[in-house]
Amino acid sequence: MSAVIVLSEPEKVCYRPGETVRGTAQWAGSPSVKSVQLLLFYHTEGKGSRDVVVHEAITFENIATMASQIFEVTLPSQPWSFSGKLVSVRWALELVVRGTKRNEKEVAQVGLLVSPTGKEVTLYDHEALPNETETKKEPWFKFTLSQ
Amino acid sequence: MSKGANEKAGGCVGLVFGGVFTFVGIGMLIFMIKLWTNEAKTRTWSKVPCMLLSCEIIDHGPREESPFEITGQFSYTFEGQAYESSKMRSKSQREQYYEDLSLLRRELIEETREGLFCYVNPRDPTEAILRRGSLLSSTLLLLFPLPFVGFGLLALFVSLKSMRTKREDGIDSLSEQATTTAKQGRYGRWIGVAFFGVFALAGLGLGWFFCFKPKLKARQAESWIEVPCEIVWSTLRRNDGDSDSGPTYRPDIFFRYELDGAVYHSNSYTFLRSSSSARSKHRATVRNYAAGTQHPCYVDPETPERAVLQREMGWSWVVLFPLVFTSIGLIGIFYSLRTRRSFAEAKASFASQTENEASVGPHILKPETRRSLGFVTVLLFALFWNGFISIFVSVAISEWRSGSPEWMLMLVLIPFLIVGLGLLLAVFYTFLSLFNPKVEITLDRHPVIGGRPVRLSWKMSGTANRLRRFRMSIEAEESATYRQGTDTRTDRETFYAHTVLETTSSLEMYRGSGECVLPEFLPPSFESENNKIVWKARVIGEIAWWPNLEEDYPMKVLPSESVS
Repeated sequence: MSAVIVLSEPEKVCYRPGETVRGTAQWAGSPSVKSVQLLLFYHTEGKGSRDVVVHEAITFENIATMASQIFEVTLPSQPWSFSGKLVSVRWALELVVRGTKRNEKEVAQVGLLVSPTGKEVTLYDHEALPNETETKKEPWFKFTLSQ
Repeated sequence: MSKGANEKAGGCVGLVFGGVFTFVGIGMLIFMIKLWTNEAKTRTWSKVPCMLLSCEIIDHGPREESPFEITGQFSYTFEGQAYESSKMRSKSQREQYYEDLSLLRRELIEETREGLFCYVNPRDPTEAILRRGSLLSSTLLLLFPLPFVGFGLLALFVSLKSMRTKREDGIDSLSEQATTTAKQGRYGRWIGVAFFGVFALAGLGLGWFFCFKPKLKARQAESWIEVPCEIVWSTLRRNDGDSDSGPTYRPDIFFRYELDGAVYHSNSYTFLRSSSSARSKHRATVRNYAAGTQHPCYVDPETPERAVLQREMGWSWVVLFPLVFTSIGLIGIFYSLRTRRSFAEAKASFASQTENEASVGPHILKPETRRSLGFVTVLLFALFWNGFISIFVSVAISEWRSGSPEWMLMLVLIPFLIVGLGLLLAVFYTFLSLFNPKVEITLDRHPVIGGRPVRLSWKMSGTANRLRRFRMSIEAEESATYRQGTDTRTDRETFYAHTVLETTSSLEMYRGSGECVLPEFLPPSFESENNKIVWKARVIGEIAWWPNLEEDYPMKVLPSESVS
């Protein structure tokens, strides 16, 4: 058995929140394949216990007659891919091909970068953020006394 | 230590913990099953009429742990053949309390008049008993080790699962862990409820046996008759218990009394059948009720076999145990349900909400922790800690007064006393902070959208003029919860802080408003089960010779539509 994910835009580095990801899921070993599932999920990395949250799961049908399927998944508005001292969030697409035998499976993973800035947001590097400097130039806070 | 090593160490601790629990639980279960089968087999015995030939209670004296024994003889006929037996009941013929046996004797004598029955083993008709034990009690006892076995097996299962290594053939499926996490979350809620439910039930059970039942009896005993009684013997009983809590003691006073010309005996000192570590107090009681002395005792006129030397029941420290168990149980159930629900709610709301769905309108931010709740929590914990320690302190003092000071106990108590004093200081500190000025922060829209202006107003009530310096800021922090060994810890790190106001002027502190824009390209609020991004308004006020004002007001931040 084998599992492969081919994205429609393989050169694309980063996706914006809410954008659609397109591609093809491919697998081999039809007679012994029991199920094929594509999952869009994020997981945390860092000091804390790992959290994994599945945003969307697609179960492919007609797996006996076909060895590939085109897919389309829409990214949510958040969480973004970010990196901090304690917590980082990573998005990924995973193709899980299960065989008829117990514990028989193949897994293919593709990491996705989901960010409005075009690159991973780093929590402590505010300078690297677009418009951030511009925002700082303006008076950030004006307070008025109302008696 | 690395995170992986921590998890592995935690898994090993869990394995040992689970193994010990399972082992102890199975041991208890085997013992209880043996008791249950002994009791259950008497249910198959034949019920036949019989005749009580003799029945008396023997006092074996104060040296015996269970000094009273019921003896007697009864005759019966089974399949045409006559037999005699002296086995009065399925459980032991001996008892610590005379009253239990004298009530049994009274029942047997009364039943003899109406028609007495006994139970004969059909396989061996020489074996017969007059009284069978309660199968319900034996069945309930059978349930007692089940939580031990259950928790032990669960701990083993979870530990083994967490220690399971990656797939041998390469890439591990991360998304499958999500299913596991979700399942654990769902089950975790009910495991927490079950665990704390056992605590609450144990507390209620203890409360019934140690508080309410004796208190009820004491109330009924107000109408009992006072008669003079003579002490036959008195002794101090020692219960070794487990090695951690040390031995406990109770006075055992056997006395004789007369009512309507008949002589009765009893050794019930109070209605509470328990022992405590107050050795000196119990020893003084035994000395007071020395053999041969006369004292008043109280007799139930309807059942003269029931009598007691002390019918008043004060609220002693024994009440503390059921109270603590029940409180821990109920608080645990509340938090098990609340934590899981809040996470589920947060997950649902964070994933779906966008800028357009965000509600517009004034919104008052709530402080992260309520001061009164903080004070009550610290107060309860201090009461519990110091109440528990006071038992050992009183033992140490009474031992010291009696001339045999327990130096080791005193030394061991020192660190616990220091913590107790620290807790009392914390109670005082949190009490004073209740009187700090209150800050009300209002946003003109909530959730806040990154990159969009938001109007923030503040209003202070209370004595703001006591503040020497006041600072209000908007901060964002990342928070990670992890397990280290058997502990669960949460680390926090602030990655964004912007001072809104820093002033020493009371006028500025009292009231004001302003417009601010949160950074558009920093992550909005995020919450998963163990990891978070939290945005909040933070206020700090310095007060001379008083606890400082320090409060966080969490707010929800959403990404703007323009970045999606």
